[in-house]
Amino acid sequence: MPPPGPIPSVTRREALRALAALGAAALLRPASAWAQPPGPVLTRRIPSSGEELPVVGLGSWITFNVGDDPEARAECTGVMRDFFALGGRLIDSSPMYGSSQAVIGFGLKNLNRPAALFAADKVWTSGRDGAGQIAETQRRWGSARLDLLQVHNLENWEQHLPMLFAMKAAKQVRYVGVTTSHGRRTAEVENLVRTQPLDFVQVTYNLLDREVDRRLLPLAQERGVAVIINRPFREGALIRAMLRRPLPAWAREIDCANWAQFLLKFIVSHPAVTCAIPATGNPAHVRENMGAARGRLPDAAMRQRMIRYVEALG
Amino acid sequence: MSEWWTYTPSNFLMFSARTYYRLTERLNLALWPAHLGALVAGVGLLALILRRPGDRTNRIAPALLAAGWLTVAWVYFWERYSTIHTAGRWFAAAFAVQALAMLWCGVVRARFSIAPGDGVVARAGVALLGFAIVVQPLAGRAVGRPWTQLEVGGLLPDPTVVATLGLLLAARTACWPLWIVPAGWGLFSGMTLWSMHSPEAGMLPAITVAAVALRVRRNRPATL
Repeated sequence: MPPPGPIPSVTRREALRALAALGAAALLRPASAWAQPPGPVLTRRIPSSGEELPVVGLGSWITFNVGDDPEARAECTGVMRDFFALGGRLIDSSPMYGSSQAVIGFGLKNLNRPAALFAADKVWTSGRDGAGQIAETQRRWGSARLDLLQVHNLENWEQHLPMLFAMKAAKQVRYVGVTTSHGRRTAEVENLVRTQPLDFVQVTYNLLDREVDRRLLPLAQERGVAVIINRPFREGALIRAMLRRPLPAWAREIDCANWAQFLLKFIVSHPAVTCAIPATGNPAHVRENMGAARGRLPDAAMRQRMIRYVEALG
Repeated sequence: MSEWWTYTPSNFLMFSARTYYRLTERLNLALWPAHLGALVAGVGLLALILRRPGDRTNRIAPALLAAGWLTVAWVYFWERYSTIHTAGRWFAAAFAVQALAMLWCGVVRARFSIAPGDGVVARAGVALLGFAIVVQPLAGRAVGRPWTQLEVGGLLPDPTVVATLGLLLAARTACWPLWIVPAGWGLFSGMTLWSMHSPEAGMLPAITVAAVALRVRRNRPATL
């Protein structure tokens, strides 16, 4: 695996100019853009600690990998600002995501490190230098402590998990987990859920990719392991396909005003799911996404109706 | 990589189309007016090949293109692309190696013998070189991108690769090792653009495959 590239940086002047433009844009934004379903932010308990987490988090794959572009960095900061303003907490990244960690660190610095932040990152190396990579990750986040560290795509988990558990015992990290995506290696994840004292697993689940629904999600629930859901929109492909179709009128019964909320509410209404982490670099989209963390959630019958509707769209 | 058969090219795309083209735009704004120098050098090279083929041109042509490969390795891959792609510095190294290999083969060993009128394939090679210098920078406009995102040979990889494929086609000897990096980048870049749903995604892979096929055809011994 190639070494990571340099940490992108921008000058203070570039950052201030971009942030000033962002602030002006926020003032011009119509109030309706902030409209959210009624009620408090929905949360789920992390089984191993009892800590509550909002059911919608923020991913950073692709969307936050903007290099040292000051304009794009300011937009990502705007996304984070709106995310926190609407009650969000968990932001997820990885050393594999290019400049995403550094862009998150840039945003957090400009937002004065919101206290609500729940920092989730990963270790991703086939070598033995997991500890060095984690130290670099902390530097990029500008954060002494990460809340959750996960083994990315189970890469070298035999080496990394004991190290992460030792870090947890030393109170250097609060939670430990493993991740996979695209439905890969789920049997191995199931095995780890059974045999390791994991706090979290991260898997792919959405209205069309529901394989984990059969065994892994019930198993995680039974074993008291929190579940983070990645690829809720299949990297945008699912939502782009849905946008060409009408949102059913009955979506209002579960307080969905748009397709993003429809797709996310299906995911977070699963009783085993702790939170979903849609990735976006667009402030308008983060506001839509956070709307899924409020209002009514579908019950089992409604979830089946949602599946039938989307599958019928083809 | 376990379960490798489940991966598609789009799984390896690390950035959005917007980020990719903003990178080009920011490079162009930072380096302007170097583009004019690159264009003048390209047109001059084309004129030399067409009007004054010979030993001197055979050395100047690979030297000029090697300068382009080195520039792209530094200003594009090392300084910029590596901020959004974990393999960016490996690409920089590959482009630098290609530059050195072209200097070795074309300037030190004088293995290039460019004869623009030497058959259909050589003429196609010169035409491809002209396309890379004059037409390809405008291709972005044809698909609706702004002037600031246009790609000029010697500063950005795709037209540099196409110009090199043209020169390699026009040369009498194949110099096959010199084809590895350009052909590899041609296919990789096409895959990247395809994953980003860019309208011109097929252009570079098509040129690469056609150039290799023409070169193989040219090298085939004539039959009675």
